[in-house]
Amino acid sequence: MSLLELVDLHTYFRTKRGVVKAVNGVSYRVEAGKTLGVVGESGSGKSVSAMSILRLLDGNGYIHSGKILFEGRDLTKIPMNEMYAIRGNEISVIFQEPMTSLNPVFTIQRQLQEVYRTHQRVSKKAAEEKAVQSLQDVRIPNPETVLRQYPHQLSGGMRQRIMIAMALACEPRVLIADEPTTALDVTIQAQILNLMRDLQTQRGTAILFITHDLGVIREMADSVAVMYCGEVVEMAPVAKIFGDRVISHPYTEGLLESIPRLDTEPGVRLEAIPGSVPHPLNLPKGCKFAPRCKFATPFCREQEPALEEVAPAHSIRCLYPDTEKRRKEIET
Amino acid sequence: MRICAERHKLLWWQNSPRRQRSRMEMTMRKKRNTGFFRNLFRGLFFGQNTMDPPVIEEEPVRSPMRMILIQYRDNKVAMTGLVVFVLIFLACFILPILYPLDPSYQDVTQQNLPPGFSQQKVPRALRQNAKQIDAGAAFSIGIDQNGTVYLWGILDDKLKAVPEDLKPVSQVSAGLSHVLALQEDGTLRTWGNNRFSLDQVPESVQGRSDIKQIEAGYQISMVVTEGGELFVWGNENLISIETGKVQGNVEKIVSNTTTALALTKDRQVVSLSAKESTFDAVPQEIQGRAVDLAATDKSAAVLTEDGRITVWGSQDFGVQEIPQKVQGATVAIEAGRSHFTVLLKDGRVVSWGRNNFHQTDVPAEAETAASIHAGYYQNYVIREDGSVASWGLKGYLMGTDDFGRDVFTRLVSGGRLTMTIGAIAVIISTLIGVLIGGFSGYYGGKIDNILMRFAEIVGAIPFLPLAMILSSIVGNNVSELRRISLIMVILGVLSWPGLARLVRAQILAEREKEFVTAAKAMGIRELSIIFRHILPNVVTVIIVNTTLNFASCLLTESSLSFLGFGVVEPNPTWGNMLTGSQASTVIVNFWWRWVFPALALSLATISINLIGDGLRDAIDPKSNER
Repeated sequence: MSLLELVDLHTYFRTKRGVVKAVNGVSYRVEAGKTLGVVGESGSGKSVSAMSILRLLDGNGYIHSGKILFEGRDLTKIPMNEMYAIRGNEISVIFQEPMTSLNPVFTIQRQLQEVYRTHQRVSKKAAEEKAVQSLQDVRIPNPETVLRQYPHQLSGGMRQRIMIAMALACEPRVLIADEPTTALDVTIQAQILNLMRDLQTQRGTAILFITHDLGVIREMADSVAVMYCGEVVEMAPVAKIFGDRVISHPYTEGLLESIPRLDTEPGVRLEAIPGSVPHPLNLPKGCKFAPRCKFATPFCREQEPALEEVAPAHSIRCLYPDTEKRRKEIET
Repeated sequence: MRICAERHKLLWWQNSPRRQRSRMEMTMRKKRNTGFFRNLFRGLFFGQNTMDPPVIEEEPVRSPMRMILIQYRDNKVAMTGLVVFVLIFLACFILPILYPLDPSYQDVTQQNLPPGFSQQKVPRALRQNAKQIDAGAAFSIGIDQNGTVYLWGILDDKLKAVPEDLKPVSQVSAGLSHVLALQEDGTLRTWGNNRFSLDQVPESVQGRSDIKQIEAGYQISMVVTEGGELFVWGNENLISIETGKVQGNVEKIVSNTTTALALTKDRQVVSLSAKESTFDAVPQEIQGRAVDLAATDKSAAVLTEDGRITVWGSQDFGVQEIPQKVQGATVAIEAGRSHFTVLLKDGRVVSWGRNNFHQTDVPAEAETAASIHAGYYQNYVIREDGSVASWGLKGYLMGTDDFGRDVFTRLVSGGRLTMTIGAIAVIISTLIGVLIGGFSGYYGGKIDNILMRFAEIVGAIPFLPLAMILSSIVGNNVSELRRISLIMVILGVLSWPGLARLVRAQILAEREKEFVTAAKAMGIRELSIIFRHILPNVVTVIIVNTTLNFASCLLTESSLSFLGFGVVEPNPTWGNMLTGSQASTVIVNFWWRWVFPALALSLATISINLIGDGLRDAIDPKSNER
C-alpha cells in the first residue's frame, strides 16, 4: 500500500459561469521515501490536486468525488478536527512564494514555535531549543540571531529554508512542495534542492514535488506525473520520461523539446507547443491535447483516450503512444 | 559622497593608533542610540535627530511596531498631541484623588464665584494695624485702628459702594453679601445686597446710639443694644428667629444660615429658632455660666467661665471632637459654617471641624493672637501688634458654579467620568467591530453578506434620538451607575459598524496572502488564523480607528450630557458642566462655568485626533505625501 494515494480525484470550482473541473479524475501515488514529480503548464491542475489533499481549496472549490488515501484513511471523509491534526504534522506544504509565506508581523521564532506548540505538547523552552535545532538542520548560520528577526530582514533563500524548517518541524510523513524553487535564483535553487534531498534521505519523507521545471524534476523525482487540463497524461519513472522515449505522450515530448539542451546547436529554434491551454469551461471534445498536438488525427478529436498502462509502471493517455508509429502516421 | 567619506574615515581608523579609542566611542554611540525616551524628547523639543549617523552598526532587530513608534516620534504635531493628551489624562485620573469630589456637596453661600484667590488678600494698609475683621461668604471686611474700613475678596459693585460719608467705624460685620458697620458715634450703617431692604437701616434702629453688637448674617442683619434689645431685619422667611423670649436681656447674638442663638445678660444661652431645631437642646449644666458662644450651621458651642467648651447639635465633620488642650484654657470662640476656632489664654489658636478648605489648618504665624475672627470658611487672627494672619478658603482656581461647587474639582472628576465612558464605549465598539469585521472578512460569502447588512442597519440607526428615547424611558427608573453604564453600552453598541467595515476590508486583503494558506497548511485552526495571524497585520489600522473613535465618543457623550440625556447632575461630566451655558446670562456673566469645560473638551478631542492622525501617518508613511 502506498503512503499517499489519489484515486480518481475530481476537484471542481463553482464559478458564476459554471463549474470548472480543475482536477478531473486524477490518480497518483506517493511512496514513502520517494519523490513524485508533478509537471504541467499553469492551470493544469497540479497545484489544485495537491491542495485537495489537505483540503486547502479556496471557498468555491470542493472535492466532487474520488478518494485521497493517506495510510489507508480517506482524507476526503475525515472530520475537520482530524484534518487539523494531519496538516503540518503528518503532511505539510512548502509554498512557492517564500516572500509572502511568512507572517510579516511575527518573528521567525514565534512562527516556528507555533508549529511545535500546535502539534506537540512541548514547553516554551523545549520549543525554542527545537526551533534552533530545526534551523540548523536547514543549514541556517547563527540560528539564534535569525530566530529573533522578522521575515523582511531575511533573503528569499533564507525564508524558503525557514519555510522548509517549518514544514519539516514535526517530521511529517509527506511533504508537498508546491514549486518551492520557482521564485529563487538558480544557485539558491540548487542549495534548496540539495537540502530537501538530504532531509529526505535522513528522514524517509515522501515528497510530492510540483513544478513546471523539467530540469528540477530530473534532479529530484523518482517518478513523474505529467498533467494537462486536470488530467494525468503520462505517468512514468523518471528514467523513462527522460530516457529513450520509445513510447511517450506528445505533450511530454513537446515539453522536453521546448527546453534547451547542452547539445542543442546554437541558432536552432526550440520547438514550442503551439497554442495555449484551453479554457477550463470550454474543453475540446475528444483528446484535450488534440488541438495543439501535431500528431492529432480526426479520430483524436472524436474519441477521448483513457490512461492506459503501456509498459510496467508507465501509463499514457494517448491513442498513439508509440513515438515511431505516430511519426509514420503523420507522414502518410 | 558621505559613504565614501565614511569609508575613508574607517580606513584611517583601522590604521590609526587611536583605533582602540575609536572602538570605545562606537560602542558608546550605540548605547546612546538605544535611549528611546531621550530621543523622543530630543525629537520633540530639539527637532530632528541631530545625532551623527553611526559609522558601522549592526542592523538592530526592529519590529514593525517599533518602526511605527520611531516614525511617530519624528512627527512633531502628533507628539505635541500626545503630550497634551497625556497631561489631560493624568490630570483627570490623578487630580481627582487629590481633590476628591463629593457629588452631594452644594453650598449656597459660594454660588457663581469667579476664579481667583483673592479672598484672603488683606489690603496692605490693614495688615499691620488691624482692629477688627469679619469674614463674609466670599469677601471680608476689616477696620484699622483709625476706624477706616477695608473690603477685600470677591466684591460686587454694591459691596464696593462704601458710603462716602462713612465716619470712623468701631465695629464691622460681614454677611452673605452685605455689611454692617457701627460708626464710632454709635450709629449704624449698612450697604451691599439690596434685597429684603438689607441695604437700609430700619427706622427702629435709625438714630439709636446705644448699639453694642452688630451681626450681619445669612441675608439677615441683627443688632443688640446696650439695653439688651434685639433688632432683626432682612430675609426672615429663610432665617427663623423668635426674638420675644430674650427681648431686653440680650448680651450677645450669633447667627448661622438657619437661625440665631443669644447669650443673655444672666449668662444663659437661648436658641432663637422659631421652629424646633437641634439648637434647642442647650446643655443645662452651662446655663448661667456661659461667657461666649458660636454657632456653625448645625451645631453650637459655648464657652463657660472655667474656659471649657461645650458643643451640641450635629456631629458632622467632627465638630464635637473638641481637642483636649483647649479645655480650661479658652478665652474666645468663633465659628465658620462647619468649624470652630478658639483662642487660648496663651495666645495660641486651635481650630477643629470640617477641613475641606483647610479652615482648620492653623498656620504657625497665627500664634500670639490677640483676637480671632472666623466666618464661613475663613479665619483671621489679629496679633498684639495689629498684624493679621489668615487661613481657610482663599478662592477657587476656576470659580464655582450655580450650586457653589468648585468648577476645577468638577472638571477633573468630570474628565475622569467622560474619559472612562468614552474608553469603555470604545472598547465595546472595538470588540464588536473587530469580531464582526473579522468573521465577515475571513469567511466572506453569505456570512459576510448577513453581517454587513446587519452593520448597515445598525449604522443607519440615528444615534442621538435613540439615545434620548432610551435614556428617557429607562433612565429615570435606574440608579445613576446603571444609567452611566447604559450610556457606555449604547455608545459602544451603536458605533462599531465603521470599524467593522474597515476591518473586513483589511482582512479581505490579508486573507488572500500566502501566509494565511501557509498557516492553514501548518494545521492552525481558523479562529486562531483570523485573530492571531491576520489580525496583528491589521491591528495598526484598528488602533488608528479606535483612537479617532475615542475622540468622537467623548464628543457624543458630551453632547448627550449637554442635552441632559447622558450623565445627569450631580455627577459631573464635561458635557453636563456645559449645560448651564444654555442660558445666555451664564455665557455673559459667568464665563468660567463654560470656558473651562469647553476648553478641556476641545483640547482632549483635538489632541486625540492629532494622535490618531500621527499614528496613521506613522503606519502608512505614504499617506502624508498627499
